[in-house]
Amino acid sequence: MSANIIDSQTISLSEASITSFAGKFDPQPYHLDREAGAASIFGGLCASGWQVAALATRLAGEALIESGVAFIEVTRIGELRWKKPTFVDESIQVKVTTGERTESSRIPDCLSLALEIDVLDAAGEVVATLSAQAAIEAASV
Amino acid sequence: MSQIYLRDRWFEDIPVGEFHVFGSHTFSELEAIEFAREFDPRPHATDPEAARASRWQGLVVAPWHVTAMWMRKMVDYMEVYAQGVNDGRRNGAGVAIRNLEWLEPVRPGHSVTYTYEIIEKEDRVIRDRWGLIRSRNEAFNQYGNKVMAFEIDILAERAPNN
Repeated sequence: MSANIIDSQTISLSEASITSFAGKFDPQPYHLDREAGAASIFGGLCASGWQVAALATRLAGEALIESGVAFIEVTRIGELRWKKPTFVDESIQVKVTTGERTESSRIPDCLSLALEIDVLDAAGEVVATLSAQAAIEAASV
Repeated sequence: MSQIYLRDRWFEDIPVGEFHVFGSHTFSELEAIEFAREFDPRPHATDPEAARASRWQGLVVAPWHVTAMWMRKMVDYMEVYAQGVNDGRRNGAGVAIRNLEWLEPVRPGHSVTYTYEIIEKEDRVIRDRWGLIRSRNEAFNQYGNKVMAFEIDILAERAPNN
């Protein structure tokens, strides 16, 4: 399998989902409240970066499975960069570029597959980037 | 005697080598399933029965749930020391993480303890007022096994006229 580029489904981040996640995991004013968001470094109520990262990982896994890759889980993220905030009702999708496959994975009966994941907004601008290693079922390749 | 609280410090005041234990969280089955339904909706994370029959041999806490809880524990920990500094002025955003690894599964019922160590300060002024604090963060289960680790770069406001 050579490098391959896969587009995921799209997920929209509602105000309720942003504030619900933030209330549990990242209770900072700019993730909880419109006015505080507007006054913050971000300039508006925006999703926690951890919510964006978790959704991006979900979208990437689902896109891989959809394309026939026996994705098990992401085991390592070499680098994750948050490039711009995701505001209320913005949607994200990911573009997954598969890279090198290596024999070793800490997950039994799996190989490791390198992934470059670009998280894009509706305008196609990069919201975040992830360089990751995923475990995929060895028997599937 | 005046005391400097954690959130009351400028970038320049924060020492490399500082170490904190943010605290522990015990993941319940209910919250694990609730998180997974939204962020990792696969049977081994959402359905205890199906999970038993899967390669995971039982329900797991979604990896990002373990990581997101680090953020919550950090915010709570910093709030304890905030002493009225609650405008987030010097509490900058995260910019990047590196070398995030999930080393072994966390199961419902497990207690995870989160630690934080400042390992580096980048000598660079960002957008006229911020500096970068790099920390090494680790999470251990109740057996003392490391279940997760990562490094994160967080902005911290520099002292005025510095």
